[in-house]
Amino acid sequence: MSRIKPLHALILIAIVAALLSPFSSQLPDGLEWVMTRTGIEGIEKTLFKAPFQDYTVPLVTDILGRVISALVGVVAVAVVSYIIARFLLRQKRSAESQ
Amino acid sequence: MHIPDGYLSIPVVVGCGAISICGLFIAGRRMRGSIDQAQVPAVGVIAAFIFAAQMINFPIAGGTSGHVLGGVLSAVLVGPEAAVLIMSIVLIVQALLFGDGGILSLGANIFNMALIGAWGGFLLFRLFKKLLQKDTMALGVAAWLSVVIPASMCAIELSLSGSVALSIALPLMAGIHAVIGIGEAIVTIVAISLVRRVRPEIVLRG
Repeated sequence: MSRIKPLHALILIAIVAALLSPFSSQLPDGLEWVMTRTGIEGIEKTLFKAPFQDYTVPLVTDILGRVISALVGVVAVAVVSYIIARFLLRQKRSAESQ
Repeated sequence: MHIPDGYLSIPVVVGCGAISICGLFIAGRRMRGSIDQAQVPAVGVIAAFIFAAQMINFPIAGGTSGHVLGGVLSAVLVGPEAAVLIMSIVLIVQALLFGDGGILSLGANIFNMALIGAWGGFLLFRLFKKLLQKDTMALGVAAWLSVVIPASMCAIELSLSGSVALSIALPLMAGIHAVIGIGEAIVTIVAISLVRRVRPEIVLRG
């Protein structure tokens, strides 16, 4: 295989995440299972309603909501972490040039 | 194991928050000293992969599901400091955009999964690499522990908060995540071998 460019890798990840997200298991995860088994799930508080609460998107079906959530989330974390990493690289360079 | 709001007491929220802020500060400072040009896009791509992997839950025994955390995976590729940054950004985006994990419990979730899972998992990988002399075995064991130890920390935080007794929560959390951790170990080993095939020049950190 030839070298994969970062942007191509990102697009590939977004596509695979979007395609797989409808098949994500909706069973309780480990912590949720423990909370239900110990009967403490009632003390949960929602302090604010997230725009895509539980990976759903308003006005669309749950499956489509998960696909959109996957795309939004993949792009959001990639952009934020890229910007912070670039900021740290610039700081390093400006420290070196002094 | 993203802790929602309501389960942690104020002292636990504040304590874990303070540790996480310090940890992020140290990770940022160390990254500022060591980051190179090639690492910048890699951090973005790996963050995207970790978010995607954490969204895909796989069913496990007993009507439960689990997902990959990716702490050790990201740490051996871009270093533990960058992995802490990646895991923390993923956790913050999950909490703010998707309500996955609480806002007040973000400190605890970052402590468990970024600092203990990614940074601690990386240190364990380095230790096992020396002890076992085998990358693959060391990766698997460290990846498994990078799920089981944070899950145990999670149980400790819940019990310190007075939400549940440790004698009940710890065996349940460690037990179920001992199973989920097998998935983490397999995915970590397979993903690293794929990366090595695509980029044979890559050297694992650790």
